Amino acid sequence: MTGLKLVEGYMPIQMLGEMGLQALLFIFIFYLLDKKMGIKVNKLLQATLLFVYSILYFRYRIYPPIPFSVRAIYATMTLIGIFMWVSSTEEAWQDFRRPIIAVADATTGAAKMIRTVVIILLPFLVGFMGYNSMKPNVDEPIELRTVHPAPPASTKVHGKTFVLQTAQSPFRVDNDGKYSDKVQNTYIDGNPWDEKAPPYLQYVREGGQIFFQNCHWCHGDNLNGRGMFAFAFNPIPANFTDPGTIAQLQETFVFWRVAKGGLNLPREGFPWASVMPPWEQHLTTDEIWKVILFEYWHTGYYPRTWD
Amino acid sequence: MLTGKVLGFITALLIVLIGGALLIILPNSGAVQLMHRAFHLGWPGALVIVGLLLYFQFFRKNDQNRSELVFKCVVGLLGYGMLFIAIANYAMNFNDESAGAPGEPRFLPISLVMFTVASFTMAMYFKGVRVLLQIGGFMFFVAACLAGFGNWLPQVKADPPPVEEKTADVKQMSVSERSDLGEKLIFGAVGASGTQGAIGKGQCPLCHGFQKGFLSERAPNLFGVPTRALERLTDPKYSQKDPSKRDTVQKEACPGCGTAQSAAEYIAESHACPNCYVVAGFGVKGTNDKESPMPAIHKPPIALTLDELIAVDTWLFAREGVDPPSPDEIEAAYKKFIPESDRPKPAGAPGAAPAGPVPGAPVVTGDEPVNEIFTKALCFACHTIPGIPGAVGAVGPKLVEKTNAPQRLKDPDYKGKATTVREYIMESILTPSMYVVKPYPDNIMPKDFGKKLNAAAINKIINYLSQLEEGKAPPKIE
Amino acid sequence: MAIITKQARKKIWAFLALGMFSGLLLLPLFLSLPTGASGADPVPAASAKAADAKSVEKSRDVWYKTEGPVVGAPAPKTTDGPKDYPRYNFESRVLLWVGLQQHLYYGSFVLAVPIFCMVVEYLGIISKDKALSRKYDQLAYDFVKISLTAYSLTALLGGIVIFTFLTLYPTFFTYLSGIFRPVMATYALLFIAESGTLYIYYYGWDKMREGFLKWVHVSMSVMLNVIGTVLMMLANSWIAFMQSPAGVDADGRYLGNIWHVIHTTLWNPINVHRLLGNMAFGGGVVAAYAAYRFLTSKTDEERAHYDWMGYVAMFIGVCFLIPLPFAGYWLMREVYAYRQQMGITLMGGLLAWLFIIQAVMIGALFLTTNYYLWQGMERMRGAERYQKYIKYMVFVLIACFIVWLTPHTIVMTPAELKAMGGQQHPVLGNYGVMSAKNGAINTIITTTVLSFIMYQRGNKIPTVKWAPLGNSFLFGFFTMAYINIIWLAIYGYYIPANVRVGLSVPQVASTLSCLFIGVTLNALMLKGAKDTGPIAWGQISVRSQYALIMLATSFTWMMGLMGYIRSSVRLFWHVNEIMRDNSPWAFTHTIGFGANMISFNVLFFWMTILFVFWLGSLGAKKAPVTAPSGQKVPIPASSH
Repeated sequence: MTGLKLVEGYMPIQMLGEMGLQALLFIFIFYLLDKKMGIKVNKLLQATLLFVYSILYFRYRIYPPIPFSVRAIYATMTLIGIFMWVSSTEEAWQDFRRPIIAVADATTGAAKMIRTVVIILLPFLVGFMGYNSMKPNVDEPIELRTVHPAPPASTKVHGKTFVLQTAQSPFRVDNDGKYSDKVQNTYIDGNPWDEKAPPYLQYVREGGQIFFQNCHWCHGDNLNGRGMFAFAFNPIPANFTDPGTIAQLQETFVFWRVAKGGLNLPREGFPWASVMPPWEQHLTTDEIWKVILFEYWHTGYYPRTWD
Repeated sequence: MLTGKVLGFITALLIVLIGGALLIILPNSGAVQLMHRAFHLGWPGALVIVGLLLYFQFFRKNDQNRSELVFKCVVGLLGYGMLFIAIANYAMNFNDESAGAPGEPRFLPISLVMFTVASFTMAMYFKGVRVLLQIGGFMFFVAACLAGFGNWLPQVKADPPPVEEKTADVKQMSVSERSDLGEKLIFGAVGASGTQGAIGKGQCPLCHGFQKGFLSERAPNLFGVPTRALERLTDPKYSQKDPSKRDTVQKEACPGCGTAQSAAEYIAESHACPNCYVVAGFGVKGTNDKESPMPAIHKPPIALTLDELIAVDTWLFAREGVDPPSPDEIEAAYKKFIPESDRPKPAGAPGAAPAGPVPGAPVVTGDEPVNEIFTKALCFACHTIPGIPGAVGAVGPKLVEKTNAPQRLKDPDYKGKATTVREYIMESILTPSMYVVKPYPDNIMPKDFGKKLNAAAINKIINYLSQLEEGKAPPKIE
Repeated sequence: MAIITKQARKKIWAFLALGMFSGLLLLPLFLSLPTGASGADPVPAASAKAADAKSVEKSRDVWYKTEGPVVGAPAPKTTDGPKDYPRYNFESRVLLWVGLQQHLYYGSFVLAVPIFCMVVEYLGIISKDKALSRKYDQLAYDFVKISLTAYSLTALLGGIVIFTFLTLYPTFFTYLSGIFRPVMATYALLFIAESGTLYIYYYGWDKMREGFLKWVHVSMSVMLNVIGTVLMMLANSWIAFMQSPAGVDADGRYLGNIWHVIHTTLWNPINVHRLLGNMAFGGGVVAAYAAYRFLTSKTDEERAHYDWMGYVAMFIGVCFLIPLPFAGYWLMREVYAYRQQMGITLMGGLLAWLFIIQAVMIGALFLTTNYYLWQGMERMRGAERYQKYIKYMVFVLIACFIVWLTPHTIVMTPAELKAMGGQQHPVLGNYGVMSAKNGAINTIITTTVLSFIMYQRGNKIPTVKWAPLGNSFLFGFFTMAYINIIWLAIYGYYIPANVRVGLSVPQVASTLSCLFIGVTLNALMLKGAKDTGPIAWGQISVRSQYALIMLATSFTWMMGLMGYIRSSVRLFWHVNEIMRDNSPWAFTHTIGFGANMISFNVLFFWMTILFVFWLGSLGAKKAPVTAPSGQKVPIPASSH
């Protein structure tokens, strides 16, 4: 496998691995406490500890910070998991319930005090939550931007109609000039500056020239969306090295986006949140295809194909 | 002692107190509106429960279950109130998202939560239906979670795209729709008739002026044409009585020519057979107004369909506030002048074909073959270009530049900077007034081709024109 | 030997009778179809004639691209006004939505329950144990009893839907009925046939209890299901036509071939998907019914019976749930093949967030199933030795769900976006793509299978000689499967998409082989195993019953959601690309509104169905048969 490269930053599996190790550690600690030292920790306490720990983990361990919406999903999942664990057997469930029931029934003086406090605080809590959700918010609104919205069935560029489902890049060709989706794989490590390079690599080189004349200001030298102007934009330009961008898209989809630019996005694509110019006004059709060819070759991703 | 019952009473009291306080302190707040609404919806039932409560309290003194019954009434009232506040919340915030509808649908899951709480609260005290209430409450809870999740996500409402171009028959359109279509065909967009340089599929504004006082040197200004047409018909040159006496070059078969009786027929005739009658001063130079530079509009390259012509003519009338003739009349007028075999077949719906480019934008991209460039840039309308179908215009000189250009460069009157054929052609396109071929007048050729054509297109034009030689076959079109 | 042949003869006679009977009942279908269906062949001849006469206009089918004589009127161009869209002071679309959804819920329940009845009654017949046989028979009878009330409600709701449709969308309805006239007539006739069969089936239950008649009775349940399925397929043809029209030309003019109109490209995928979905849904509803009865039970016997019933229903439901994603995959593929744009609108565009909700639902279903199985271990003595593994399995499930639920497009405030430095998160972004999702869901299913295997052997200790070998094989097999799934999920990041799509095959293969080989091997090992104690039916926690209710509610919600997605992908078309929706409600609602409406529909359905249950319990208070002794209760997988 010649194209095997590691994704920048963390391996995603690393986070899962860390989570697994911590879970094991957690189980082991309470096993030690219980079996070796004879300290039985109540399930409610264990569950609370685990939950709080998981929230802290997702909040502070992962960098860059995870947006709140995703952390909320994770926290909910953790909560459900903890519930399933503590209620999986009757014994554990009774252990978990005991302190709660004790407070509810106010069996001891302390429990009674807690109950009274809870009863007094509860309406305030509900009121506070209500107030909190109703009060005017000055945060920027959350956007449900569909980054890759549904494309049109066909797009017209420079007077020619391209049907997105059937169009093919005229430059993704093998040495005989025939369209080939294998050719990128063959020349992924080739040298485009080689005089005798096959046509595909020549096109890649030309595409690269176009990229560095037009695109790299925003999309960056490394195609990672961090060009010199990138941070003037909000959101910042697309990062092609991310597995979620061009790697997820067909070549014709990218062609449509490059040719028509941000303003031509459908509404759910939030056209006002992209300033990419319609490149059809500046580049020829061939140049657009070449620059796309270059982007795929450089990142090592393959355009999506319809199975 | 804080028994369950006492707690219930205290909670009920608290809720009543909070509600009452809200009513007094914030009489216009949303919460109070909600309570009002709930009260409006649910007061009869509440009345029954209160009645029961009073009955148990005061008329069942000897019943040992009295306190139990009264208590259940209080709890029932509480649950009932909650239920109706939830329903009121639904009623107030249900919003079908049509424009201007009040309410915030994202608050609806709160109702489900309230249903859940009400169900479980009641289940604590009403043992008989406990399971049913609990199951119901649990389902409300599940639904509340899912609906809450759906509402928690940011919302996008998608409007349908604007209704596509009316592809219906022009004849079924209203007058204003038809005239809008006409305007679009002439100027490229509805409402563009006042914009300088706006041009549509019909390409009329290239030569004709349409507004009073607009420059219109290549062809007559069409302002006021519905009234002027009738004057033209009486022009002796039109020779309405005996068309055969006309002095114009009538190149093509034209069955009914010269027999126009109405303004509509005059316009139709002018579109179908421009040579039949040439307005004085607008003929091809040197022909003494015997020949018109205007192409027949129903034929390629412009090739408007009958329906489109109907729309165009309707606009000519409608824009001046004149009642336009009916589409059938216009159609009949055209049928009079265009023989059956010549009539354009309605290939698609009118207006479906791409309307002209947006004013100001490049007309061509340079990717198309050169003959398309000539057509799109409208060179053919004025110039004769060998090898380009339809390019038989006579407003400007014939473009055989391999022959012409060297002669022109030698002309002592030549003041330009060009030294080669290619440079000469480019100069002529970009700055037409630099050198004007005799006997053609100056200021006829538009001066904005530099804006409309990009370098690639001009390059292709030069490539082609520089190969054209008088008397020789034209080169292959690329 | 003689007895067997006698039985076999009975069977043959029964099937013959069934064949004739159903043939007669299906006659109207075949009679009405030839007008169109036979049109497929004589078209050339007919068109030749037409060419001679020059009177019949011909046109081209939008999907099949065949020429055909124009028979119908073009799709009307509607305008917003009381003529085409008369209305109450409310959104017409929402009214119709509620009506249709309720009709669909009841319809699928009514279609699914006879399938259950058929399976359970058949199980009863082939069961050698008399007590168990009676118990199954009683269960099937209970099912049918519930469905009877629901059946009349279905018909009632169907009528309401038709009238609502006719009142609110008269032009559209006229157009559709103009095309589907023969289908609608057939539908009505079949409905009558279905009713007749159902009543005979129900009221003849006691009369046809023994011998040959019993076989006739079972055959009738088969027929009932055949008619029901055909009914559903006919109804599906309308919605499939609206989504992917065929048999009409570009103007919507009917071209005389009814088979083309019925057999549109999405018809069969929808049929299969709905059939499976109905059964999963039916299982959910019956499980909820059992849970309801369990929770209201006064005696241990009742509790035992309804515990068992809930288990069986849940099991059948989950059995049909497992192939459902594959049917969904097929449907999606066909949608992409039909219009790529439609596919992207669904999966990546406007409606993509609804699929996130669907992912949540799938999560809920699998978690609930696992939870129910773990709770079920409580009623077996000896299952304690497996309970200690639950916490690890919880972790695996939750970790997978964290991956499964990480959205591709993350919802965030612009400030968060800046902090993250782009739309994609460098770590979580990797969970958002196909490769990770495939790995996650396959791991989840495999873990569910593992739970089930543990459940199966809860109260048994294998005694066969090769048990150690079998155990280590099972252990190795599952380990290999997990490694394979996870490794392929990681590997998928490094290869082109077209190859990556192929990776899901070995992943799914791992999962399915775990399911089949694991469960079969386990069942073999448990043959003659040592019992550590009977399954104490009824001694299960209340939580497990709420898990069943959760399962049922989720099924219902998911059905509403998927139906909404499928329907709203037409966006602003009545009939996709043929007839435009020009009413004021052609827009697509927000997700929140959709979720609110689905919740309303789900709750409305459950309120009414609880009422139906209550009615059912009012009827004949037949005391349920006492629970059989634990050993005899089959675990359905091993008895299939």
